Order: sequence, then C-alpha cells, then structure tokens
Amino acid sequence: MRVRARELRYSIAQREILAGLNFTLCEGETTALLGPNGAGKTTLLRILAGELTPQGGEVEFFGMDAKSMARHRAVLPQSSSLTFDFTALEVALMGRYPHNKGRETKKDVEIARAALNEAGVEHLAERIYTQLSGGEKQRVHFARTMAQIWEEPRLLLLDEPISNLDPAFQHKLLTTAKTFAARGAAVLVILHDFNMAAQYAEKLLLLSGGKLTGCGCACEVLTPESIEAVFQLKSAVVPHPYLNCPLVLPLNAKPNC
Amino acid sequence: MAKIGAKGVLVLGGALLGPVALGVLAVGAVGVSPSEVAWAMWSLVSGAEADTSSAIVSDIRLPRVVMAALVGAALALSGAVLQGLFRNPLAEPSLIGASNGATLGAVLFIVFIEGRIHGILPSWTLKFALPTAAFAFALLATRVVMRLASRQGKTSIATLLLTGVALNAWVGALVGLMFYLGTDTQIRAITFWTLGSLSGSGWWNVAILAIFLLFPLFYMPRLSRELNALLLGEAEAAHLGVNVQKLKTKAVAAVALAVGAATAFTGLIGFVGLIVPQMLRLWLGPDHKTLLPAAALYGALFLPLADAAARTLVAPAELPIGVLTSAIGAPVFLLLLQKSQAS
Repeated sequence: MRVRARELRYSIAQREILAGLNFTLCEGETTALLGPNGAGKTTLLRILAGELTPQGGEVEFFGMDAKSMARHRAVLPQSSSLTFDFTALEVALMGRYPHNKGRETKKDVEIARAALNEAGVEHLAERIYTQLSGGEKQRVHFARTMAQIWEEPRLLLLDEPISNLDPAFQHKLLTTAKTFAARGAAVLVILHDFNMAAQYAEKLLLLSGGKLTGCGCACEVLTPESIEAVFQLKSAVVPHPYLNCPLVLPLNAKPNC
Repeated sequence: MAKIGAKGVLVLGGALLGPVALGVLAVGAVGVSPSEVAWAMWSLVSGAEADTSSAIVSDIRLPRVVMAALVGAALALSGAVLQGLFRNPLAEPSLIGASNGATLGAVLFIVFIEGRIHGILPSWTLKFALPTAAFAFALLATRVVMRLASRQGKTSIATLLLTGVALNAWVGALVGLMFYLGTDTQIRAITFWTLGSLSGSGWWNVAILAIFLLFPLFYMPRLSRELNALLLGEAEAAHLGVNVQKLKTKAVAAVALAVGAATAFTGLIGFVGLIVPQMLRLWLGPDHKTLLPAAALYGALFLPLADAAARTLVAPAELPIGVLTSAIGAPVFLLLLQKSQAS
C-alpha cells in the first residue's frame, strides 16, 4: 500500500514547473521534500493534495479513487486563517467531517481528543482557538489533520509546518509526525532545514528546477556536492556527533566571535 | 450573557415564539386585550362568529405578524450564511446584489410601469406586480454579480464582495436619478420602499412568500458543516472533502431566493441580517450547526417585535420598519461590540 507518482508534469504559461517526477511514498515512512524556492515543492504538494490536476502523468493513491480521498488524505498548511471563535476541540472535530454525515458521534469526539493529545495540546481542548499562540494554533490544526485520517490507509501532507515555530515546537511537531507515520501513515513534509530533514525523515526528496535530483536516505542525498549544485551553498557534511545521521554545516558566514 | 448552552438558546427561542406572537398581536393603533387575542385565535380555528377586535387581530395583525416572522427569519438566516461564506462577521445580505436588484426592480416599476398598467390589468394583480418585478430583478442582479465575480467556473469571494459594493453604488445612483424623474407620488412610494414596510401584508402575500421561503429556510441550515469547514480557508475546506465552488453557488442561490422574496414584499429592512447573527455569534459561538437555526428563530422573534414598536410608537401613524430596525440595531450592535472587546 503506497502512494506512487509517475511522470508528473505541470507547467504554468509555458514554464515547466514539474518535469516528469517519479517517486513513491510508503506507509510508515516520513519523507522530507527539500529544494530551493521556486523548485516546485508547493506545486507538487498541491497536486498530491488534489488541488491541482497534473498535466501529465498520474498519482496513484493506495489504489483508490483520487476523488474520494478526504477520509484518507489530510493537509497541514503553513498557517491558517481561521478567525472565528471555535474551541480547539471544535477545530479538531472538523477533521472528522468527512467521516460523519450528520452529527459527531462519540467516536469522533474520542478521536479528536486523542489527536489533540498526540499533538500535545489536549489541555487546550476547551480554550478559544483565536486566543492561542501561533505555535499552539499550528498544533491544533495538526491535531485536526491527524483526526481526519485516523484510520488507514492515509497520506499526511505537511507544507513547511515548522517555519513559524520556535525550536522546541519544531522538534515536537516533527516527532509527532514521525510517530504518526510509524503507526502506518505515509507522511510527506516540506522542510527547509537540512538537519531537521536528516534527523526526522527516513527518505529525502531533493527537488531542483522541477526535477528530482536526489532521492534516498539523508547520507545519500545530503552531500556537499548536491547542496552546492542545488542551493549554491558551500557546506561541510560531517557525521552527527550524537545522532546516527549526517550533519550539514553551511560555510558561507564569516563570524567574528 | 448567561451560559445556557446551544440547545438552551434554541429551546428558549422556541418557547418565546408563542408569548411574543400573542403580545405583538395585542398591541397596535386599536387596543386589544390578550383575552380578545385568544378569542380571535379561537374563532379563527373554530370558525366562530368574529367581532371587530377579532377581525383586526385575525385579518390584519396576524398575517402581518406572520409576514414579519418569515421575513425576519429569512434575513437573519441569509445574513448568517453570507457571513460564513465571506468568512467575515460583518457581511450582510445586500452584498450579493439581491436586495439592490430588488430595489432597482421596484423603483423602475414605480416610475415607469405602475402608471401605465393602471386600468389595463385587473386591480388585484397590481398588488403583486411590484413584488414580481422586484423579485425578478433580485435574482437577475445576483446572477450578474456571480457572473462578474467568476472566472473559468471559479468564483472569487473577494471579487464577489467588491462587485456587490459596486452594484450598491450604481443602484444608489439610479434611485437618485428616479427621484429626479419621478412625480411626487412616485418619490413618496420609492422612499417608503427603501425604508421597508410590513403594512398591507394580507394572507395572500404571506402564502406566496411562504412558498418562496420554504426551500431556502429549510435548505440553508443544511450547509452548516460545509460553512464551518470553509472558515478554515478554501483550500482547507476542499481538503476536508467540501466542493467549495458548489457550496458558493448553493449558498448564494439560496440567499438570493430568500432575500429577493422577502425584500420584494417588504422593501429594504436593514440591519436584521447583520445584527441578529452577530448577536447570536457572540452568545453561541461561531458553529453554524447551532447558529443557523438560531438565526432563523431569533430573526422570526426580532422582526415582529420591531414591527410592533413601529406600529405603536407614533400611532395611529406608523414608522417605517427599516428606520426602526436600524435605529435599534446600530446602538445595540455598538454596545455588544464594546462589551466583546472589553472581555
């Protein structure tokens, strides 16, 4: 059971954004999507999310009909524009909409609470969403997306989920995502931080100019050569002194400390 | 306000309907005691001989109260739906062109048509000719606004809002032009139309309006979950399986039908569609599942009360209802706004 993309193509006004991508997202695995601005990461995510239809190629979702994926595919945006005074629990319960046709069942409430718990915000369940901090809001939405795809098969798409969070929240969120993947979800997360990707993702996809220039584990994808070629960034890659993964050290800065 | 829960608010509203109806039936230019109201109700049901005060209640006041309740429910519910659709608690029913279109239809009818068909058509049809013109223009205007705000089958909510604002200004200019062209009688008719009135509500009007409102009043609350999801954002709603474009079309069509029909019979009654949902949202929270039925219920309570005040404050004359709703509505709205800012 997996999500498989074949020869994905997409262009806007003659400009090719995605030029024939092939990759697989496996259940139980966290995949990080890396690449410079304008590489096509967001376009790819929007195709996987069903917002855009690819002009060439196809995506196969667990062998299911792509039109009825709301119970099996959830998307966490970078930030959300909700400005109405729902409670955090009510927001999480919205994730259950594709599952209940009328009223929320007891099971829906249980799942929403479990998802809030998983995201580490169960203590905020009765609080008003709009009064929460940015990091808390993001985790409430994370709970909503997990509640949406509580049962298998499932695909979780995270669009730069940590860019507005402080370091502790960044690690918490990715830990939760990894745990969620380990329980049987295919997780794709757009990241900008090489080391976060190296520490949390089993597989890395490196996207550059609409093509996949790297695909594999962190030690295969994150090399000084590939980083220089894709990001025009000089760096050293050393083994992480404490964790079993590579550590990328950009070398552009000239500090005078 | 006290926390009595969402269900409590609905039950309270339902329980208030009866007493409010009896109360507003008793007040007016001619004093009628509550026992006489009860007797009039009884004679209406049983077909017993009606005296003068029963006749006032059952033939004049009752259809008017029912009309007020229907219009109040339609405007408040439409306002709540549009506020969800625009994801803005300050949206109101006039934004999608229906009430402006109705105004345009009514004003053009008053100035150019009414005098000409006088004596040609049977006189009873005249009473319905103006609402027909207003209603037709309401639907037409909404269609045009939707069309202008859509590209390649996708409606932009921001463009919809701006198009509604533009139409508002344009209709305002046309109404001004009609003031210039019209006779004194016509100008008076236009003025009263734009201020709204529930006078002249007979059982026929009530029956026709009820038929037009039946569908939107029962249909709109069914959109509550999709509207909740839309509050997250359009993309987020789509990820939750909502067909966002279909939702926009459904909501706008239902609102156009409800506002168009209500406005066609009563003229412009401002602020109900803004203030009733707004107050309920402060009280109940933003969940459309309770907000939409509550808006319909409390709209049906609010407008008969406002109309009762309009009938009695300057009796035997009448205040235009639109003047009254705005006069009460605006300060109450400000008060609530201040209160919610303070907390």
